[in-house]
Amino acid sequence: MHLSLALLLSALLFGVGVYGVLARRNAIALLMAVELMLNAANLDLVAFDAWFKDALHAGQVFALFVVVVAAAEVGVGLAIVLAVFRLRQTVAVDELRQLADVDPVLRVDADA
Amino acid sequence: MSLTQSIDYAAISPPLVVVVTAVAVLLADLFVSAEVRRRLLAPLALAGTLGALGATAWLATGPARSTFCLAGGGCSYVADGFATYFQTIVLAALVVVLLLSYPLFDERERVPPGQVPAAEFLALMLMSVSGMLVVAAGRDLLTLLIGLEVVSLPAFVLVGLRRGDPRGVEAALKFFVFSVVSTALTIYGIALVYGTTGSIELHHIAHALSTRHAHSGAMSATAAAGVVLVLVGFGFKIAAVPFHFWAPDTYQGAPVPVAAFLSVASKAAGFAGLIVLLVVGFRPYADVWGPAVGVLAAVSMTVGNLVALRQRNVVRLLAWSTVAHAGYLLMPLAVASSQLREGVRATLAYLGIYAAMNLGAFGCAVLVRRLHPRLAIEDLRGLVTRAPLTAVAFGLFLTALAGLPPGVAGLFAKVVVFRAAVHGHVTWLAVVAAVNTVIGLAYYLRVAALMFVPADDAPVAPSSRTWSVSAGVAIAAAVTVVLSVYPQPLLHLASTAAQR
Amino acid sequence: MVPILVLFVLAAGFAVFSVLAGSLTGPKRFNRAKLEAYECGIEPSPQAFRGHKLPVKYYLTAMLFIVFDIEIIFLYPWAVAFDKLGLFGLIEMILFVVSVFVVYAYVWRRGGLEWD
Repeated sequence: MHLSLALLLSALLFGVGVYGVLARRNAIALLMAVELMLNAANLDLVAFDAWFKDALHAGQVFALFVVVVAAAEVGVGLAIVLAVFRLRQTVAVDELRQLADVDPVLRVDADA
Repeated sequence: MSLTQSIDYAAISPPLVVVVTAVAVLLADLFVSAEVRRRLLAPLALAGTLGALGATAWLATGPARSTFCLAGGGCSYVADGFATYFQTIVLAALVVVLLLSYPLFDERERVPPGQVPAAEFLALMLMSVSGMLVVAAGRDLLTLLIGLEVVSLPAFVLVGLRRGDPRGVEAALKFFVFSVVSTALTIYGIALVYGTTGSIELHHIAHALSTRHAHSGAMSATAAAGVVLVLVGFGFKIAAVPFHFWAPDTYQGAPVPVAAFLSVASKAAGFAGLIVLLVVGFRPYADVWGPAVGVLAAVSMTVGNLVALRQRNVVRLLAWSTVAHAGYLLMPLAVASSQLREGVRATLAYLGIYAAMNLGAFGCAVLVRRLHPRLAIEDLRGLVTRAPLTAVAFGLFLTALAGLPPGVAGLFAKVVVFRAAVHGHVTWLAVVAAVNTVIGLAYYLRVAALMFVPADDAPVAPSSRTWSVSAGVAIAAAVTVVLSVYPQPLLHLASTAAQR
Repeated sequence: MVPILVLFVLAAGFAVFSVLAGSLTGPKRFNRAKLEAYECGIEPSPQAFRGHKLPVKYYLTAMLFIVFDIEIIFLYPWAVAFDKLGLFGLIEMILFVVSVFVVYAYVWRRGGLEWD
């Protein structure tokens, strides 16, 4: 199979992921979009590895680690999203505005 | 080819000691009684940190050690002067942060709102530090990336660990989202760099990139794109504009000691990785990243300082000030020419001084928070009568951050980075930085002056465990004062670390 | 490339055939047992809330599952190169598994495995 096909698919996947990150406001959907970006990178790594016939298989090993990193990120991310939901009853990232540059002091007063 | 390696355990002893301590803290929390826990956990973590610090000092005196080496040359982990310099900064910062966070701990089974579970806090902080120690010594893309992730993942949790705190979890979520997106960009960049060089080891990458760079074309452009994407991830870690959006919100929502930790230790790790990448791996593309780093530096200091001017909360002010300082720290790296070694030396020296004065400033914020939970700047009025020592220390750190006497250390730091920029012919950047230093004076001095307005309040008595915060601030103050009078050892260490 | 395509076509064809053949030829008799969870054995409980939100405890279990599941990925490359790695690989793997068990002990003692 030609290398450029894999790279094209990977670029498309990455583009979908970036769009998802920019367009989605639900934290869980955002996480899924990030997963797409990571898997696009993985596809690239594995494709390059096969193309180089890398004796050390650096690309494959890297992809393995990226999978683990992604899982760890999802684990921590879900825990944070759950904590946000328990305390704030929302998972929409644009509704989290207690911390912002608009008059922070007045905001603190309102909370207290 | 033999697949088995001999591991030099002495070389990796600092992160090893820290990780083992983290596991020990977690297990101790699970299997010993509450009374023992209360007296055991924090001293255990502190002892582990000091042990790692001792190991680092021992490594620093000996020759450079490398381990996890490939048959064809190139090692994944190198404990040289550069690595031990950063490891010392990170571990020393951890000692101070542990002291600052001691009043936050609660060792009971059910942690009341506003406190953090002690064992989890300590273990996560130690794990995050182990990642920083690895980043400082990592010499291939995989080790750097895993190190960076080990720094970040516990840090997300640390930010949101305070029980029942809606602002803490908001800060954690913002931190998390920005971080994972920038990590994804970095990994994609790494994939492109790997695809154009065929290696993830930095020396091999440098070799391959120099031949790539000689022939312009699609491959060269892909490599350049990869280099820029990788830099995005590190730009996020050091909170340089435009990757800084998380920093003010995260610092404000997090427990103040955690904000101190992120602004010093995490930033130091980011710079360690960034310098290794730029100087070793991406050297052939200096004409691509040099101007980019210069622009990042100029924008970071300008935006950081201008937004800091209109802050009304102490921690947010300090947060924007750290963004501005990321700019000063980046400035010498923009040299990107034959003078790069002097640039690296300047950044290293600045980082050492910055660590002391910034930790001190955040430590003072912890002390002030006890009197004024809102931490509004207006609350500082007349602090000198309520808490004289805190006000004096805070004044010292703020003037040091501004680069004025009596905090002369900050002035030395500024002189070093200016000189590096001028020697490396990026005079325009030095001019931008000079203007910014003046803007900085405005807000640092406004806060410092406010504290010394006389008021007729009585001094406030310290509560339990505050002694530990005071000790942390005292250490930072002592280091700042020593560096103000006698900065030569630090400058010397920075030059040795920059010799590679 | 071609063998893979043939395999795909065969697999898809078999799936379509067996589903269609079952519904066309078999008798249709009502039996409550048919509506239950197939082979997994456990009735879904507690029921999902109105609004189709899953109870939080599912997320917690899912999270733990994902983390432990993915950690095991590191055993694969070791298994492939087991002969060449010898004792060195075995010791490194034991260290890795022990650290995973530390996490397991933490989850267990903190009550992460208790359902109610």
